Amino acid sequence: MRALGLATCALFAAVADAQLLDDIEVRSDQGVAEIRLHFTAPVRYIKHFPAERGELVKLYLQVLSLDGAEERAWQEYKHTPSIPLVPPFTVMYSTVRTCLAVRDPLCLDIQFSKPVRFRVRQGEDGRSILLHVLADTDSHTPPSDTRNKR
Amino acid sequence: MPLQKFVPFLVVLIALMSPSTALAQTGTHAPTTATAGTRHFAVTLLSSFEPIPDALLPTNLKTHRVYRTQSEIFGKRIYFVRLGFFATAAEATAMRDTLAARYPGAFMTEVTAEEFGATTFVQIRNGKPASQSSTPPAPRADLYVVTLVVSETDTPLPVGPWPAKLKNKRIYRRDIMQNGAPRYSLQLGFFASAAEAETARKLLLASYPQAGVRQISQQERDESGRTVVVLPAETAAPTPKPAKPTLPLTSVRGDVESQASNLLEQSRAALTRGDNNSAIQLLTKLLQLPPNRHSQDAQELIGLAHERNGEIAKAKREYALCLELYPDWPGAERVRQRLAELETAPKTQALKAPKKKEVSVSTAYGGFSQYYYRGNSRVDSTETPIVGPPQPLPTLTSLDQSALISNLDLTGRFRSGDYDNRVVIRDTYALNFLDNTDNENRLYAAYAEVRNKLYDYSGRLGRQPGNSAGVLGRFDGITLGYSFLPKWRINVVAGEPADFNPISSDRQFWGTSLDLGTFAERWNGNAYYINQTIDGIIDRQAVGAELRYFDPRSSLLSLVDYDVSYGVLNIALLQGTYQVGSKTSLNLLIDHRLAPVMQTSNALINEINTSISSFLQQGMTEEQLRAQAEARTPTSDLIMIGATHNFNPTWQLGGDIKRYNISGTPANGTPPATPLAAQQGTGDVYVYTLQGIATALLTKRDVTVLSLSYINSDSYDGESISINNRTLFREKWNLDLSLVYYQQQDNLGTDLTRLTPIVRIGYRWRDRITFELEAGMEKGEVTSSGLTEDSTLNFYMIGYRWDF
Repeated sequence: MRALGLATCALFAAVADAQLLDDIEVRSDQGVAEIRLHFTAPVRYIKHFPAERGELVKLYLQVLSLDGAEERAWQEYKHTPSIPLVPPFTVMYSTVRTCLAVRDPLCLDIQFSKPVRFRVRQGEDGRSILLHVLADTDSHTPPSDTRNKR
Repeated sequence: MPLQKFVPFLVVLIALMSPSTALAQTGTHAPTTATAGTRHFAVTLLSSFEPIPDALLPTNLKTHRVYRTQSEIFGKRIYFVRLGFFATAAEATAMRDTLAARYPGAFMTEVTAEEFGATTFVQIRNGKPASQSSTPPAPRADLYVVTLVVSETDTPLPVGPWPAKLKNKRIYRRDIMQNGAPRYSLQLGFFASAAEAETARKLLLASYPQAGVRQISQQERDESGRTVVVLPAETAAPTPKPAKPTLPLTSVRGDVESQASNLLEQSRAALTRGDNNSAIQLLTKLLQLPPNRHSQDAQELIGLAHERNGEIAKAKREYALCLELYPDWPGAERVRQRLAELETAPKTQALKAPKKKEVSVSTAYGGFSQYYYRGNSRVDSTETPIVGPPQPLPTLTSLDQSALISNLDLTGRFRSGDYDNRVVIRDTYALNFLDNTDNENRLYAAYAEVRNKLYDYSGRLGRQPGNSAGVLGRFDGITLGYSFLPKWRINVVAGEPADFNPISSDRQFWGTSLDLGTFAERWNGNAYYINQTIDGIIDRQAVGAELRYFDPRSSLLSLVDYDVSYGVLNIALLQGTYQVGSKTSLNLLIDHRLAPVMQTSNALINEINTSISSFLQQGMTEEQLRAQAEARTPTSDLIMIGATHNFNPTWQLGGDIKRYNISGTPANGTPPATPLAAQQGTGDVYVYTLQGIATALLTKRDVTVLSLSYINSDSYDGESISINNRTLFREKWNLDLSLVYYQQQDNLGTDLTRLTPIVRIGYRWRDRITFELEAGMEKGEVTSSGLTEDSTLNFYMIGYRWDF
């Protein structure tokens, strides 16, 4: 019964809880974008998918806040101003327990408007995640070169 | 302190933002580079995190030169294939447009004089030149080198002593990916023959026992100029003197860095007090040192010092030199702006010093959303007596949620010269339609922030997120920070918690922290002290520290928080990740904590009376309250290890094992509060999870996540399986399907099953507005001796989100 009660709470969770995604900072140079996701609490990078290219990047984190008692928004969106040469993107996160089997999970979907290549790593401050993004051009290999491909 | 008290401060703070901010014009951008000499433009066709294979190079672009190049951008090595050169940006842009169908990611680039001069033909795999440019190919040169040292983890540094006869040779860095793993090496060149290179190798065997000789391509030789590693002059030994110990080059380099750091710090201080001439002298000394990590900053600052001194011609020369030397430096854009301002300013005005910065950018972004949530439930119960047939009990139905949630997230950013200021407002309003349910507004953030990049200070005032430097969560207050040395920053914070809990006591805190690093390019951290009171007595008095380590393959974060007043360890946390090869990563978490952290306000857990002062007035002593707080604060221990492996670009498999234990608490609650029975601890709970993620499983643009978990504990066992699929279709639509099944059996004979399907659909309209609809259901069954309950929960959501 207790477990059922918890599930009910999760299903009907109000969205009016603390937000975790503080800001998204984007800068670009020579077609390379650095996207820094700033969080309001320390986060732990666990994994991401796909490994290095795609249109939707799933990022799995864990919140390591000092105060674990605070309720958190179970869902949040964030959009940033468009940056030249960087495909527009939206970040959506979910904190529902089913997204990852850890305490205080934080699962992010970063949805780009077109496929990109990227690298992901934890920020040096422990409260941010860094993505380096390039426009995906491999799928548009020059026709004259296709004969060289195996 | 109510937030309204901050409003005047917010107004004042915004008004005090840099003077030029008030003149900010939305969308003002500096013109592009205007360096000395002829400008050259190219079209960047391809860019990659890894070297671009020949197969991807175009073979039929006859009119211009196709060449490879690479740059360090945001700390990442990026490889480019460009098509050049063009005399104007317009010509390059026209070519880019022509090639847009074949190279949709192509963009126009202004190239440096160095790149223009160093570029040679790219050879395709069959050895034929890629283009028929009129520029003759570079003459064949010496193509033998000595590979001094190779590392898989880090860029090696030269070590001494260095033979005098090799002092005119070039040492350069070569970073490549081999079998999916990075390899960093130091190369020494160039030699006309393998025998000559072998002679050099033997001379260096004492310092580089693994050195080897290899032949290189013309391209590697051409590109080596970009990664030259400079030896400090002192390390070149004019004649071999084996008897005299020689200082390792790394130590000499360390001295240079330290000296440069001190000079930069002194020059910044001089600029701060307006002593531009002293700043110029100090920066000149710094720039006379061997190249170091502060050279770029110094080159920019000497330009700034001249500019402030009214020496505009010198300032322009220094800025232009900065751009020539460091075109890919992250600060290059700022220097371009400074130079552009000087280039475009009228000469009479330029001679006046100092001038105000006019280039500024103001942006406002965020989102507004409104979602309607509705949920209802139905429970059918059947009682099964020991004797007799099952007896159905009355069905329970209820409307559990009916609310319109409006959410505003607004950020205004004002960048001007050295200032980068923000105003942030985040607010959520819940309009509840259920009887006896109040509407609720929650202001999550309302703060103004000032950051000055030149003098490296910052301030933030208003309601803001905490969770750093010992501040537990959101608070109303002020944060100030100043970097008094290049890697040392002091912060002070003061305010009161704003965590929406029902505590009616007055709580205030102040604290200070010291941010350290980054040292040795990998280590940073902080240390803090915080003191919080509640109704005049100590609530929390803690010291803590964070230590962090990062390198390209691994990261480590440790955190300790210790309450000196209670003498208890609040948090001891260690987490790390490690990348094995290019496809596998490992992660670890060890987390011991009091949950919540120890505070005297924990004495109010499960109390109707939410005021510490009223307990004190009723006769409880501070000691009794503290004892009550300690008794009601459970301890949590967690250890978790996990691994993830990418089998191929479409499949990833991960798994982890977790063990946690949460201690029990005694019965508590003072009448009239409902006494809470003693809570048993969880004992050791083990959770085993396997998760597979795949892309393009059902459609070309989908991602599917499959999870299996098994939970084992002293009191119950549970299993769960879940599948989630997100599909993007027809450009603007997305569909999320989710199914979760969970079952659990406990020691009392109670069985529980739960099945939860959820569907969610989204449509993006005109790029800025997204409509969403979600429907879910949870079907549950609980069976125990004598009672069976079937429950159905339904959940709906519909709304929109406007991103601006």
